[in-house]
Amino acid sequence: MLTLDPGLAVRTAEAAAGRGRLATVFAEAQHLYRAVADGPDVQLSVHSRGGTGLSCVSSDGVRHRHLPSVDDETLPLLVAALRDPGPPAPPGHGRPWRYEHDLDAAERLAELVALASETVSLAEPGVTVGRVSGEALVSTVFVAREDGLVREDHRTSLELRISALARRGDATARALRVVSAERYGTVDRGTVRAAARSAAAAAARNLDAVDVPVGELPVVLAAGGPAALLHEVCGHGLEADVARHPGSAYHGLIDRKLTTVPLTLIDSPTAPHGAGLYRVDDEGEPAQEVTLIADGVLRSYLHDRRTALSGGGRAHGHGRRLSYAHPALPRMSSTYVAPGACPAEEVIASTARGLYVESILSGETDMSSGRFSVRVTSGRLIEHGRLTAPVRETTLAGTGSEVLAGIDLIGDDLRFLPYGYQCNKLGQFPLTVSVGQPTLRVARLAVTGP
Amino acid sequence: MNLPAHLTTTGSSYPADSPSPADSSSPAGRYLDDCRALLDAVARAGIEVADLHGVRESLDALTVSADGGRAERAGVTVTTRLRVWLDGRQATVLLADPAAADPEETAALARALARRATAAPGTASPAVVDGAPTVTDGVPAVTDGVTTVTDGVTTGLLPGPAGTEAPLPAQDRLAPLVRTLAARRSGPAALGTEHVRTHRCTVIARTPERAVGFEHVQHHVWHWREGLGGHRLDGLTAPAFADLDFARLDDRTDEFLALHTALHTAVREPLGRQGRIRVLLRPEVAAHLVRSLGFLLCAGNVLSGMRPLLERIGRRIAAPAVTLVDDPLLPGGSESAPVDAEGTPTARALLLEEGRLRGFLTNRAGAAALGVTPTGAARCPNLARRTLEGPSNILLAEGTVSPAELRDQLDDGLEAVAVTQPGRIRGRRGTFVTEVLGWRIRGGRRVHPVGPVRLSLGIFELLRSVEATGNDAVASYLATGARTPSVLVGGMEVG
Repeated sequence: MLTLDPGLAVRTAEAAAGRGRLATVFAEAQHLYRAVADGPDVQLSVHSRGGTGLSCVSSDGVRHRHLPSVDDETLPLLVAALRDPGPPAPPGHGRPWRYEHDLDAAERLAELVALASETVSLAEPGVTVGRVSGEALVSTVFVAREDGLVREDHRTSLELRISALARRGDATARALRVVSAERYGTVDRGTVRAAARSAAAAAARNLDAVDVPVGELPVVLAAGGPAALLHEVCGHGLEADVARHPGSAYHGLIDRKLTTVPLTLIDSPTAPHGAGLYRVDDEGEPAQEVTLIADGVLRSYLHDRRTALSGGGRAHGHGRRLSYAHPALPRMSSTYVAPGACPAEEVIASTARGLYVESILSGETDMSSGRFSVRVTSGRLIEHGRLTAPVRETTLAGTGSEVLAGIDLIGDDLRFLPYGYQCNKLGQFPLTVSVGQPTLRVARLAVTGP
Repeated sequence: MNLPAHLTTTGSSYPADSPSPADSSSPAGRYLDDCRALLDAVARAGIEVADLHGVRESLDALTVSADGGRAERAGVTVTTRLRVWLDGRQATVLLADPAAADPEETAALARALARRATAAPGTASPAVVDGAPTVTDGVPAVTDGVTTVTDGVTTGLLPGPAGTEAPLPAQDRLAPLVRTLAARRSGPAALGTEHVRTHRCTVIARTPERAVGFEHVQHHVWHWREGLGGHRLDGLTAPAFADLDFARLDDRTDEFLALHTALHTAVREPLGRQGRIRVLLRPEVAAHLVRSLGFLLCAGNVLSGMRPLLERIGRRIAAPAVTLVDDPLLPGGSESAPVDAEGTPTARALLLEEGRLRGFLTNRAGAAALGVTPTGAARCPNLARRTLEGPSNILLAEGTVSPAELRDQLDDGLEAVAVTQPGRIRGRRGTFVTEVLGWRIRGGRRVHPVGPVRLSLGIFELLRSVEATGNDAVASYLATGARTPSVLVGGMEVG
């Protein structure tokens, strides 16, 4: 899809860098197919985006220029614009892009979305209705750098968000299930049907939900999606541009013990189980697995080229950007907790009274202090070591260090939620991330109510 | 009551100053022409109904982080949304610059996508659905980059902002940003600050002949710093850099930091009250209430869950202190626009006048359902999302007394200064809920800090409980478009 001359792109980066600086040409072209079912209708859309950015990086900052075109004519305009204030003048009308659309893929996406919507409605007739959306991403990124490196990466993902709404009299309840994978072939109709039935059953069950008692409780986080909590409380704070600020939550804690149990936290853009995101990051660095916390001890921060240059660290493939219109930042990719030794059912059985968290929808973290609040959208009470009543939406709050220090049991059932979350940092939103974890218990965590 | 000028005049203008002539050879003019060319191709492809909404944005941003690092970002982005209806099926194509793609190929893609969508049996292409255009919209007008009015609809490129703003030297922008970061070393950490200038050209079109383009320049300054319950964002907007009121932002920051420091250093005292408490909502808190009211009084919301309001037009539903206006033509307003997201010319809408319900905000579908003329309330801040009804610049009228006098009137209660959870109206019964930081007031004086405190009340009871508004109206940064003074409320539920 991209039509840039690699040699010219490298020369562009060289010219932008000058002496002692780094420079990256980043170009992208992507199609995002989207299908939405609301009742029997399925609407289809495609969002096509393309452009070129040029970032010049020194130890004290970044200069970035961008234009919504991908051709050789754009490159000298970006170099010239780096010297001037204000946005660059766009090129005249160049060659039209050749949109290479895969309409069969869009049609298959629409079929899966319609199947999920119909299954929700039939699962609990008269009780549940579905609202289902699906997205399929096909993206190509191109990177050329001042050191002569040229890389191209092809990225794909598929995600279905199956929301079920249950009604009984005046009472309403919702449940959400997400089906995601790196590509179409790995999602079959049976998987979609099972997820839709699960969403419908959960929504119907949630009609009888009770309020969670407010206060500090043991909290058991189910395997998979609830890893979004660790994404919130650890990830941003462990990104080098944040972590190196004096006073930030994890500043100066390398080689310090953060947990009482041997927890290992990994960020891997090429994570297993279909949760990988890319092979080359948005600065051309090969995607590498980084062990952030090993057996409870903080070992590394996440770096991009700028933080590596200024902080003496090593860039390891975590420079990510929302689009060609943004410079790269150190960002999480697929963050997961390695499995422990405790059988998952024992984690619940050993909890006399607490909250079992099945799904976390959104969160907010103060990147500096590590304070967070997240919404629990689906969960159960734990009473006498057993899962009992479903609970209404509630909020968890605390600090990252409290959560890490409070983890006292790690299950053996690692699961991932590939592409399931959208991450925000400094306005670069939404950036897709994957998360994963086994069942975890936090001995005490503040439940602050709806 | 001291109504601001823009609430009492009978007309307002867009933009504020004398406009420059429309220039069809400008980037905005070229973009408008490219959008028309795409719609021409769509018509040739045999598509029954289509509409187009596009934004071309030129952006220039300077960010300073707490460690002194700078990031400069400048460039152009274009997002153009083409929606088509074919045999009752809808499809959407979002692309960048329409000139960067072959219009015939884009039209063919839209047609092919629509054919692959599904529709319930018997569904026809709608005349008006979610802002879709009608095909019976009258005789097209011939335009050549000059604005034309046909059947009450303005077409062409509307006059742009007055004059041309030269790129700002980095040093001019840097100095106030660095001052914002550096001035307060004793309080919570400042994590970053940014100045962003955006120059947008928006195109709304139903057919090539019925396309309108307009430009909007906006300056934003924002900073974020550590707060209770998460990082705290605050900022300013203005149509020109010179109009950014950094002193006002500094004052708000000082107010927040004093409260934050007091909450961290003082011995925590309970609020000392359960149940109802009298509350003074300062503008930063009241803004979320005012914006929520804007959504409450949208036709679609009223028709779906608040039908009794239809019978209350002309009757009192709020205290006499409440006068609420939505003004999309407010000079310098962050949400000002001459047409809405469906191309309807916008107009100021009086919603509440001294407590009496005067009207609702309507897009085309809402207006059709109510049998009224649309107010131009179709909003689409994100072209990947649906177009919905919503407020633009929504303004609560000022009163005559100062915040200090309102504090005296409060006597014994809570002064809510900042939010930790922005307020919104929840549930079928319409309860306004927010979580705030503030001060316990006794004898009209601040005695100790409190918070976070959850405040709630049914929205209509809250409206009836408004005792007075202050003379300190300001535009909110986070509750986009809301401009409100302090509001004294007779009682809200605590906890």
